[in-house]
Amino acid sequence: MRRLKGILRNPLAVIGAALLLAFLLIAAFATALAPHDPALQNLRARLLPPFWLEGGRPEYPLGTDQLGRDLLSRVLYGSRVAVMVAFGATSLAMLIGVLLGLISGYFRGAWDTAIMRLVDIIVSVPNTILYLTILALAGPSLPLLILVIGLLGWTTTARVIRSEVLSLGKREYVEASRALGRREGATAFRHVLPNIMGSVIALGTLKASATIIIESTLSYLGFGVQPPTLTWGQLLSQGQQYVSTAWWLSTFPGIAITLLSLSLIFLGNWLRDVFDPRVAP
Amino acid sequence: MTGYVLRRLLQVIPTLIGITLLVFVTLRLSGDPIAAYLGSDAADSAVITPEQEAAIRQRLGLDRPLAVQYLVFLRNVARGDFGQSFIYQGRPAASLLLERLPATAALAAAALVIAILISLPGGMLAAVNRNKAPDTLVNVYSVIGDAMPNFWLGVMLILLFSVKLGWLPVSGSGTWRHLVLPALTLGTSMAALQTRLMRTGLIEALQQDYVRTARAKGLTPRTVLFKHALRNAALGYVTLLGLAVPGLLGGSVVVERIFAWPGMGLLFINGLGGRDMALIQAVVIFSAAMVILANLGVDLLYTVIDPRIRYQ
Repeated sequence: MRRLKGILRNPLAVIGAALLLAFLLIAAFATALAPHDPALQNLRARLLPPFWLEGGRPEYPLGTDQLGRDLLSRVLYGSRVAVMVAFGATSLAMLIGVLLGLISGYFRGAWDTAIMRLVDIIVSVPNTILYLTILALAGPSLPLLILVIGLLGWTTTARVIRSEVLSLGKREYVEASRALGRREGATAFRHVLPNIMGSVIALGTLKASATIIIESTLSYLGFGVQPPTLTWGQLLSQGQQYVSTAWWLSTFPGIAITLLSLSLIFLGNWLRDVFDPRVAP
Repeated sequence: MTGYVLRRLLQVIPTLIGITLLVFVTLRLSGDPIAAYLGSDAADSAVITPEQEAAIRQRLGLDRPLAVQYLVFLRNVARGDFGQSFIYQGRPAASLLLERLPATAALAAAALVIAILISLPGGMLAAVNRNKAPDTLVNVYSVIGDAMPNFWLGVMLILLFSVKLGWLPVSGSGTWRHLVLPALTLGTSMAALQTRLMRTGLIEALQQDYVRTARAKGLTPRTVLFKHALRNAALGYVTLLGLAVPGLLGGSVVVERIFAWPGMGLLFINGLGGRDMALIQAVVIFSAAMVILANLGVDLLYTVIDPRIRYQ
């Protein structure tokens, strides 16, 4: 914990933490923060530019879409799916990845072979194509989206954890625990797992950023969470149709995705450096 | 050497079986094949009698045990027969795929060239000037490249080069000018990771004893960099290009959709929208085969570049 206090010396990590906190608050209080009902149409205020441009109005700070709906409110609401999927799917993927990586690296042998073969199979299909196939065939929904990314997105984590565990397995304290006659499972969870927790937290933070990109990509392609629930990917896809007349519709949702993802990368990079000084850039 | 190659080739078999099983199970779990065959609307309104349905089941082999169905599926896949696409008037999915392949190959090749042109010099510049201005610049690029979804990058490039400047077409295909923005989108977003890995690989190589020795015996920095450090870092870079294949295939689905580029990715999206099983399985299995081939190629290339591996 003492090491974590060093965050104040890392400006990027502070920015990342502040941005992430802001997005979490926005997602939690979107209904209260949004100036308008995001679905409310106002046909007399269609395709208004942001307020600082000529023709913009202060009550629609980021402008409006083709039906006169408030873009700011829509972007604020879109944060909810992004945060839920990032948190839910990443936690599930990390749980599976850490468990299987630990088993694979610690027990080796047949377990290792079986798990690594499974990883080979999953990574053979590019993940965009794999996720799209399942979502399109089963019918996209929020729970399914979280399950698909969580149940299939653990491969890299398992590989990294496996190699960390392999290198830890030869350390004296692990040997000592074994020599004292502790059961293998107990040694793995009591002595190996705590020593890789730092990497797990850093990996998870970076993974959450990748999950946000995947979620928004699936949404953009039309196979993420479906309307009327708003997502940033959908907003961007709709906005692209007006790219030549209303740049704000495709610009602001993209900024939101990038900032949220960036906040997690800043935090994740810092955590990685704190817990694993060997790979510090 | 032969032993290694043989072992590596044998490893491919369980993976291939696993993939085909995965596809078979996914497609079967996702709904009644009869409904897919007739189109979902037809099945909902029950336009066929039970006798007709039984006849179709028999003709499609759906009345046989699942294990037999899987073996038949395997045999067809091995022959390159993925079935008929119903959204394209019953044309074979395999020939539709082959028709669209050149467009995707052109996009992927152009993107890969762009990615190499960025990552190779970018990674070198950063590694040689570690912790100085060029390094910082490269780091900023690679972090932003990771944080920015490529479909947004694509739309922003359209906004700048097509809408504001009017230099390039918004979407479509036909001339080389149509290829520029899709290739830039795919290439620059892939280059972020490659640049970072090139940098790390080269920094690691520059810290090795043989580099110190080369410097100590008075070789010019240029010779040390290009002849000693870079050649060793190249090993990691070759792996990276093999690993780029899934990124190129997955990325082309997104990029072809942004720019309406008529390749395999767009065909796949259309297949998904129409729940066209034949098209979907054709694209999934073809992509997996490409990824497996690329990994195999990289591993075999390794034995040529790095003689140590042959003796393991």
